[in-house]
Amino acid sequence: MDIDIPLLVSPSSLSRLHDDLAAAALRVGRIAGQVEQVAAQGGWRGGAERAFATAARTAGAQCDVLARRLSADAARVDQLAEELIDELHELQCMEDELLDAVHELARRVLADTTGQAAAAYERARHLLPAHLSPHWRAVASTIRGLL
Amino acid sequence: MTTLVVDYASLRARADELDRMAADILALVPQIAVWAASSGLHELIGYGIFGGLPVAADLMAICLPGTPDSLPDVAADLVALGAAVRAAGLSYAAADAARWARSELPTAEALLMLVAWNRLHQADQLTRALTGGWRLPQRLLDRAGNSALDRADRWVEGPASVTEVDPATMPPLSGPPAADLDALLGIVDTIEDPAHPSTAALLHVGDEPPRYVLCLPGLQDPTGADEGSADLPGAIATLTGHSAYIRGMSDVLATLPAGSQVLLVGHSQGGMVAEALADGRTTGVTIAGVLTAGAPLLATSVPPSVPYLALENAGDPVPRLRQLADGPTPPSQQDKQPSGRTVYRFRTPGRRPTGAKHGLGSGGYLAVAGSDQPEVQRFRGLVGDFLTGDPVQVRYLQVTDTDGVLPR
Repeated sequence: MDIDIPLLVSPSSLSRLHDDLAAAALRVGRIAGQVEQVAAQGGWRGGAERAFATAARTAGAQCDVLARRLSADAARVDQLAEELIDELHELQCMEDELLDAVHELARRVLADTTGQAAAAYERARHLLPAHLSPHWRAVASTIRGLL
Repeated sequence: MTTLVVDYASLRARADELDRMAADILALVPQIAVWAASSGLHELIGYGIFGGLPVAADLMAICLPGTPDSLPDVAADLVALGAAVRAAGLSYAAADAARWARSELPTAEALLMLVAWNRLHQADQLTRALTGGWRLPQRLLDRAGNSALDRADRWVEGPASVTEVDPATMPPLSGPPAADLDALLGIVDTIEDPAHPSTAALLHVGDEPPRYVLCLPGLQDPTGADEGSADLPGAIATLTGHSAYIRGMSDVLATLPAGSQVLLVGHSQGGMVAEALADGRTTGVTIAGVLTAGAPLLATSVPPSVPYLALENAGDPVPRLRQLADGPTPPSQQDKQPSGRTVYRFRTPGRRPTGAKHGLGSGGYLAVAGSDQPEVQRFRGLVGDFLTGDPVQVRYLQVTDTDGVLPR
């Protein structure tokens, strides 16, 4: 979903992060496997084989844990992207509704001779946040109250 | 024989692999930090989505050293493992070096024996000078010295063992094998085959009386790592006139039919063995000739009745080894002694001594052996009964030793 919002976060930035984290998880997972293979290699003398294998398997297990964490983070980022898309959809509807309300105020300014409508319109205009900004929720009740 | 086991190379490769893995993991740290920051996870709070914060915190924790299971910590563990593997490899190499040095002690002792032999020889010369025609002290010295050296070599090299090798497994010979002197040296060149260490060729070239040519290869294993006798410890022992190689070949000659005549042909260490075999040993056969190429001349004297041609390339460093061994008598003087030996020294292009000049082909030995030089021609005439263009029966005999340990 390509939505232009004036922030770093966006569905596409989260999607990129998901892909990057999933790739990193794969990479670390592969390394975990390689460490396991190294742990299983012989060529040692005396008790060194067991000691090395134990230490290497511990490191391999840590890599595996890290891979799983990265993978879980990637999945969570994916879910966050979904939540953001839903939120932006709601914000888009709210933005449309509030802009309609501001247009309504503008129409009233033409018919109003008291100047109250003009003042309300000016206030509402200054309150308008950027496109799909999270502040639409905060200003919604105020703008609705100006009608 | 002690096998040198150094698995340092494989351990080093393993350490390199661990280092690479650590570098791969470490490279992820700045990347993940940048991804987390540039994705704006923290800005999700503005939209009322709080799940971004734990993810960002987890990603930062993964990148921060000192936190449980962080990427830098795992990378450090892998680097430490790599360092441990390298250290183990080095200690293995050191242990192997110590073991190798201990296994080579017999070689050092053989060197000492060589020095002792030369001192003995000098004492022998002195005794001769002092006692005039009285030969008893010399005989006593010879007997005592030879007995001591033979016993010492059995300690150093262990018992010699001769086994028959299937001719089908040997490199094929080209042309009639006993057609001329160069053909015989060519056999030595052929059997100096790394796949068949210390394998001599015995040619049955005629009957009435039975006539044989024994072709003796030179040093093939400069370390003593294989089980063949033509190795460095064997070469040093051969310099003293007592080695498993000499004993093995002596045993072979003892199995030949009574009255057999034998022409000995040897290169390098094989030449030293040939000279030692011709040195009046009791083998039940008659040594009818000796042809050596690139062999250090021993402190023994072949009976004058035995035709003996020693070929030497002036640039071949091996015949000069007698100087290193404090050789008792220079060959020019030996020529004047009552011996059948003729040293034919020649030069091939190039002024410096090189290892290539020791090769039978590259050193020009084959060419000289096939030439009409007067010395070669004369020797050819003396051993003519052993040269034939007919097919001959060839047996291959491998001499091995156990590189035994000294009794301690």
